[in-house]
Amino acid sequence: MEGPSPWLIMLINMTVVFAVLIALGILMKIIYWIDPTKKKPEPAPVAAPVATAAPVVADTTVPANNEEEIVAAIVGAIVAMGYTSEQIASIRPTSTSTKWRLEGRLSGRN
Amino acid sequence: MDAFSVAINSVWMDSAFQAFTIGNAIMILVGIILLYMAFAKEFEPLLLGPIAFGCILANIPRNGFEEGVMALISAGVSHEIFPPLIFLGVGAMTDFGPLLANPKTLLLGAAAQIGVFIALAGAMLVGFTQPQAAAIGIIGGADGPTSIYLAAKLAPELLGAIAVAAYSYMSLVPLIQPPVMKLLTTQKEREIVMEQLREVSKFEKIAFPIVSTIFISLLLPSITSLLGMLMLGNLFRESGVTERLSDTSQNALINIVTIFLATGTGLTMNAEHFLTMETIKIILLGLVAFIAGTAGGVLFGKLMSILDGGKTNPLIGSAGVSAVPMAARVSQVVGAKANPSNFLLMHAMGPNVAGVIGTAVAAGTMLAMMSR
Repeated sequence: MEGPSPWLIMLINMTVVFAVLIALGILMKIIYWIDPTKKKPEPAPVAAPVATAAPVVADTTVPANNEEEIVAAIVGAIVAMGYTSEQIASIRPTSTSTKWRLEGRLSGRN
Repeated sequence: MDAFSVAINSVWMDSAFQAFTIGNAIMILVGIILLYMAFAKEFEPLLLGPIAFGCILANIPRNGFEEGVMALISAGVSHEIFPPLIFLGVGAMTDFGPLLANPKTLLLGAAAQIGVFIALAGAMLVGFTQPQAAAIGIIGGADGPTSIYLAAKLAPELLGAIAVAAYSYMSLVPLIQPPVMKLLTTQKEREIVMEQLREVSKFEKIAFPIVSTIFISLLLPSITSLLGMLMLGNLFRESGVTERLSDTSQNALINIVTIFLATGTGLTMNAEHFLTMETIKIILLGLVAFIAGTAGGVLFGKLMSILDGGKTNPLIGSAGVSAVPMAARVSQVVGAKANPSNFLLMHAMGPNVAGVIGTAVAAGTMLAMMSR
């Protein structure tokens, strides 16, 4: 018989294909790790509307302890994105949000 | 009067009717049927149309295609010029983002290549030589340019049949894949909703085509032109500063080259090469390759789903056969039928583009083995 058997060819080739693509996956991970433009981990997703709403609160010079107006500003921002107020289950600062902590500290100083 | 009859006689003697065979008639009929499928049934009309017309032209005896533009078009196919140019356009249209966001889907692209090697083994068992079997097997990769590239290198005598089988089955992906996917998965598995993919940075999207080209080309230099052009096209797209080149690659250039590649493929379909038992075997083996590739991807998807605690929907595995983006769309459609709120398209694009790379790697591996 000339040459290797069909099953041996199949085995060798599948092994090579898997090995090359696994190596490619490792390269992808390395690219991800060394990415100099990588953003630092963002706070939980609920923090996003908070971040957009914060300047509104600051611009109108509303006292930070006036929670009703902050909530109204956040609801307004969310509604402006196309959602209805009925879809908002709750609004609360996340425990991990450094932006909220910073906002609180700055408010206290003012 | 004598001069008139002599002239008529010489026109008749020079005409193609003198050399016309029953084989040519059958192939012209095949060309007309393919034209009908392309234009009336819209089975890959951009490709099957010129292939079918090329088939009709190739079966006109004494057509003088040994020189002139048709000779150049045929040379573009046989000298592997057109497939890499098509890959340039494919690269410019491809978004590697879903793959970069979830690199483990590369494994699905690798698993779906099992179809290639099962067809290869089957082809060897039914009497094809090793290089011919490799060229036939690559039909299972569902990647037309790679099929033509490999056939032109390893089995030019089978190029027409392989190209027609590859493009025909690619157009039939929405019919071939769903029964296999449903057969191999449970309703619960099909309903799995996958987590949203992370955002991929521009740096990753630019670094990936460069790094992967260097790595794979050094390992498998025989596919450098295919892979290099794919990644060059992708760089045009992702760099953000070569908009015009990206636009030309994914529109004007790919359209022009598609006309040449498909017509040139049709020109290989003359009766003496096409009307053989080998063609029927190739068409059947192509179907086996497609089914096995789909099954391989789905089964590996099931394995991944078990290992990651049910986070992977096995349906995205079937997109591991290239056929970009049709195979990913099939995953989306089958998934949405099981769970209408499920959106698998972006998740399936990962294995889909991994399949393009996987098929090119499979071609390179076989070239490395067979060309010795």
